[in-house]
Amino acid sequence: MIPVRRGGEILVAERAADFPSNLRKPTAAELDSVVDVKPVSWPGVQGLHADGSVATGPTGQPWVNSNAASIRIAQFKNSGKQLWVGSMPRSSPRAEEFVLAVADAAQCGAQWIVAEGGDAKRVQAALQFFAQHRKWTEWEPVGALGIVSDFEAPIEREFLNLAARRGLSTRILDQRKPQGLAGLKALFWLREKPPDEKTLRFFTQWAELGNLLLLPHGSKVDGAATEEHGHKVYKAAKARIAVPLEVWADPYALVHQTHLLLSRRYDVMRLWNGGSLNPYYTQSADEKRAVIQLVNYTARSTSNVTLGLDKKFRKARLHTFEDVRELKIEAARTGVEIPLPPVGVYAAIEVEL
Amino acid sequence: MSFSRRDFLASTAAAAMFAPGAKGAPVATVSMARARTYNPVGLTPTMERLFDGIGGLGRIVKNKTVAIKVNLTGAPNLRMGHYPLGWAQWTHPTVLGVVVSLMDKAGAKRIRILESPWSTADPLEEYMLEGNWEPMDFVRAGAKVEFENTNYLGNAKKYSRFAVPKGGHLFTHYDLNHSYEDCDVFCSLAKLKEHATAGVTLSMKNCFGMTPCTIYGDGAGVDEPSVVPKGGRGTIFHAGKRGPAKSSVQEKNPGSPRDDKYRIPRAVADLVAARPIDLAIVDGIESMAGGEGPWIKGVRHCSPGVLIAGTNCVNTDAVGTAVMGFDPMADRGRAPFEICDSTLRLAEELGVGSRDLSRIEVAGLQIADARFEIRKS
Repeated sequence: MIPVRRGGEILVAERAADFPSNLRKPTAAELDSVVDVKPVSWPGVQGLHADGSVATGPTGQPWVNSNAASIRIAQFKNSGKQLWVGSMPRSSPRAEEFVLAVADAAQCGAQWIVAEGGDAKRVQAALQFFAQHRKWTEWEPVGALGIVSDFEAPIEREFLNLAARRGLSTRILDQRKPQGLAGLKALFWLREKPPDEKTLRFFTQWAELGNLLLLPHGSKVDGAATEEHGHKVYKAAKARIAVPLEVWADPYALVHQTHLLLSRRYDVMRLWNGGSLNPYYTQSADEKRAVIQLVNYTARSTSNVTLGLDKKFRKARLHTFEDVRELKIEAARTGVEIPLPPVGVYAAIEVEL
Repeated sequence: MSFSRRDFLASTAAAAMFAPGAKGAPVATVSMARARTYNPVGLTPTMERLFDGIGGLGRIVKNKTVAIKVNLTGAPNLRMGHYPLGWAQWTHPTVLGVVVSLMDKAGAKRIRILESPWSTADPLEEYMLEGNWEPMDFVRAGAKVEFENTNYLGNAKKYSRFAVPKGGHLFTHYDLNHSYEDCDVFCSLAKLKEHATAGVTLSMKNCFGMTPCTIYGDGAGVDEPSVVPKGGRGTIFHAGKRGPAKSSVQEKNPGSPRDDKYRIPRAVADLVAARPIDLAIVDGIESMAGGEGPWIKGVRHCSPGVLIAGTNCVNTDAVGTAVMGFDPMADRGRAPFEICDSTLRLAEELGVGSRDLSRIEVAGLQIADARFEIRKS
């Protein structure tokens, strides 16, 4: 079911092929099964100047507006429900921005409430593409950092957004499912209040396997500590437990410190020449297949992007809305590197071990 | 009594270093070797021969704390095309690993790897990891290997002040991270490249990156150094739009040209005179032509297939310049200095070393055989 904004009304198309002509009013039951994702923004690069230059964030990278983090949080909180993203186009959007809005939402499994405008055929092609590859959004995100949070505080939500921009891949954990810790190197209790004693004991035992546990300010941890990257770091056996020196205030600083405490050694993916891209890396349950979806938030195609992955994948396939083709894989220091052809609004690199 | 080639070169090189020669600029033997790949198995004996050509590493590093300034210019997520960083703008990690290993074998007491990475106070190891290097490879290559990010105050309580002999060209003094003072031997491990602003990038230009951006960078503090570096060196060094943090010595002549082709060669000559390079090594196995990084229009990959080493950085860079197909005696108006002043000449004027090839002995591979016309590549 694809929502479409027509005039002041939300209509739906049954399938992508029905867009844009065969629309109907959604039933009350259908509307009840939908979650309207908030907050959202019109995806793109902030401050794209007429000369093609862009405003940058603190890292010097372009400042990207993406709804991916809000969608992931909404997914976590509303398991099994359809997610609609109702961002309105900014004034005078370019045709490709309509496709970008579809891709930004769909890469994480949400439906953009399609605004009419742009090239309807291209929008339809994008909608069909994501309908055909729905399984990718059912796969689990890949990352060494697990996050336990209710995402109530703004800094908790922004953490997820900025981590993605920094190339710090994260997995949102359900604390009731401890098996979700497999494959992680660090766990972040991203909540204002520290965990209760029982939960802390469980996570500490997990950290003692050689992992990092990040706790909020005010958490009580015994033993001697060193100061590292704005945190007190307690070392017990093979565990490292980090408690911030001050209450979290700046999400950028928090992501930066967290990444340094974890170390880039555990980055599961790297991108070269991909400053305008936001990658989203998910894998199948058997961990033999994975996909890295790349959304390009600028108006220009990328040039000479190389994707680095930490696993020795043997096959790589490029999917765009128009085409599928095999990609060359090169062995790298850890894992593989995949030189990519120019990426327009969107590309997915499907890999197999 | 036996007298090996290594002993002979060590004695002649040491003597030559202090020989007055024409214009009084010192000269020392420069060694070159052919190397076509970064395979460590072949590279290790090649580099051993390279260092034998200047009398061996032992005489330079034994029982010493050695600081190695590598060239990791630009952001680690920026590549020239799809080329890994070490195949274009950065020193190659295998060359660094072999150098660390050979220095360790030659008796270095402590080896410190230094660089001022782009716009960050993050640990140097993290910066390397972002570029897909493994810093543990270097740690494992020696008994005591350390890293320091020199783009800010780092591990010290204060910056070290270096005076430029003869009063310097641009500044009389430079404030640098303590690591450049707290070493017995300073090694510049550079890349053989052209440079859009200075003509060539070799062992001397590599040292421009010693300057901490907390004092000399775009986001430098006004009165005191900033805590963390922000941006590059465009505002102060290149454009001369403002001075460094006031706690540091200000420019000699604020009325001098605000032209980076005038300023950068002078700053580089000052720096290598103020903090002498004891060992210059140039990685020219794989590189780039047309500029120093992928941000320069028209750059392309090239394979000069050569390694160069010397104990005098001007001599070494003169040989490197000649290898690239240029005349090291050239100055503004002649390639590779068509639009800039010659750092070689400016450093020579400060008494650092001679650029006159007729006075420089070359051991191993000769210039004529190593010549790689970089502009024609």
